[in-house]
Amino acid sequence: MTIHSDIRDGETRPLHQDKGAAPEILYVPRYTGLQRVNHWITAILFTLLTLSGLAMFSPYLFSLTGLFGGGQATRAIHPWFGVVLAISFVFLFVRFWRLNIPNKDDLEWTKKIGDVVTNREDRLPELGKYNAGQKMVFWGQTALIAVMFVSGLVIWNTYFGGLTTIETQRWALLATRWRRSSPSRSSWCTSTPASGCAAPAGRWSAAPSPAAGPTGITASGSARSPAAASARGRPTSTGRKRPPLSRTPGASADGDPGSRGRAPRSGPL
Amino acid sequence: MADYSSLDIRQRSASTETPPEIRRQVEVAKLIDVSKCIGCKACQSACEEWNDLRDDVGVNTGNYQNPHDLTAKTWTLMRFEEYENPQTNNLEWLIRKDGCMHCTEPGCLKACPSPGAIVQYSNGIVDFIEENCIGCGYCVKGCPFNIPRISQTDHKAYKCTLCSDRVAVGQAPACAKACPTGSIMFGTKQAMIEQAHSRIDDLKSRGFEHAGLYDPAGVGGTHVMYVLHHNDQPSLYAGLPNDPKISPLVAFWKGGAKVFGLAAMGFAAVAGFFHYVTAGPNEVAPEEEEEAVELDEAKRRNGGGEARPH
Repeated sequence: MTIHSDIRDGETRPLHQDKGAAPEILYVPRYTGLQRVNHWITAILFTLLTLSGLAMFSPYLFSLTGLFGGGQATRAIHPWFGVVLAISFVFLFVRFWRLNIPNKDDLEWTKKIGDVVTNREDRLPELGKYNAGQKMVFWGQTALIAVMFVSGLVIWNTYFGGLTTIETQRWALLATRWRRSSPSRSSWCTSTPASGCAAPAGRWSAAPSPAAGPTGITASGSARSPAAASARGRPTSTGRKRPPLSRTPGASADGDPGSRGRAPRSGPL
Repeated sequence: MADYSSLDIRQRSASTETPPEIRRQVEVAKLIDVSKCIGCKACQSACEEWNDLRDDVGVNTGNYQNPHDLTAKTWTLMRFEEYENPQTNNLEWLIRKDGCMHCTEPGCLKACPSPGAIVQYSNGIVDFIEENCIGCGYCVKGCPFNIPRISQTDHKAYKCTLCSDRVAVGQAPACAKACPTGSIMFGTKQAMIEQAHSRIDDLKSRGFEHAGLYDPAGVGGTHVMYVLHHNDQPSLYAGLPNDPKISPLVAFWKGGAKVFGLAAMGFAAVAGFFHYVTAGPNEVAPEEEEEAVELDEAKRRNGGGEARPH
């Protein structure tokens, strides 16, 4: 019989008893509640911007204006979404930029991208909180959001139409449209789990055993309850983002985690 | 503006289907003979009267040009330019009636993202259907002549309609009807070209050797044409573009960039899906699990037994 314990705050409290052979579930805090809210505000706004922008991008998708209340409403609200997203993203940037500074492990990871996408983590180097794919997403998003925001301001007729020449506005339109349509890193990432990118919580791979299900506080629900947000996570819950342990011959044989001196790997929310 | 039967539309903005066009109408054109214009602004007044427009009162800056620029409520404007001709040492007062040129290949129509907001009738008139306009201003960026204007009150685009409602019932545009000197003529494009040629011969015989017809091929020809004294330098006439065409930026933005963009997005989605069904999501190995547990316990020890984000 296995006792599922809640060991948050260092104390052990029994949760419920289960006759299965599931091991103890450990909750590892990854992000604070505030970080999560910030991330999801950004993500939701990004989605709204994508939908309203696509409506104006292609005649085939013009019907998406129906989601926002018509063509005029879509045109009016799209830049406001952008303003709020830019502000929200600044907070994320300030909080996470240090963790995304590339180092030489990232170079090795990138070279072994074949191993990454085929789940051969044993061949990949150990990394910090984020792997190279995630770092590329981070910096890519920073650059793309900056370009979209500035070019969006230039073509925002209502307030800034008179401040630039028409030729400048044509360049901004091209930048906006071209940038938007290049495979935005995050759209690539949500569709390729193993590339080590951000993912909705529900797609994290299950931790050790299927018996994790019945406890009701499994990671698949990690985004849903704000109260427990800070303690959510799974023991090795980087799921696809988790960089592998190096098993190269000649590496230090001690399995002592302390000697590596790094936090468990995890990815953006 | 008129509501033509849909059978009369040749091009329609942002439309995924071609409009029906089984009728072929005669192409019309308005010819503005700048050499005959006296700047009386009867055309501006007639346009306001016919379309029930009254623009806001502005401030005089010492120029007869009034208002200073086209607006959502001023669809045609006399532009005054003073030119000292270096060859004759004469001061020439060049007065040009500015307004939509009704291009055969309209940049505004190409740029517009809203289906049916801009249409080109089969007689060549380019009209805005304000009901479908979303006020984005792309038409302003697409136009090689800088003509459309967005109203701040209703956020819709407006410009000269070539009196499509009058033309629909066989009348000439209001400006042509009001012009006292016959500088503005209206008829079939063919007839207007012939008329222009006879006028140009006349001008050349009187010393204007560069007189010519401004009907720019870069936009496929226009349905508003000018007879200019100095057709070798159209830009003398208050910035009339010398060789107007749809900007290549606009052409790429609305052409290749869209195809590329949609294809790239589609590819990313499909590739992601196929990766998911073949390689699948990342799985956690048991030894990694143990390692992470150890790491976390180490963290807790160091952090005094509390769980903190890391």
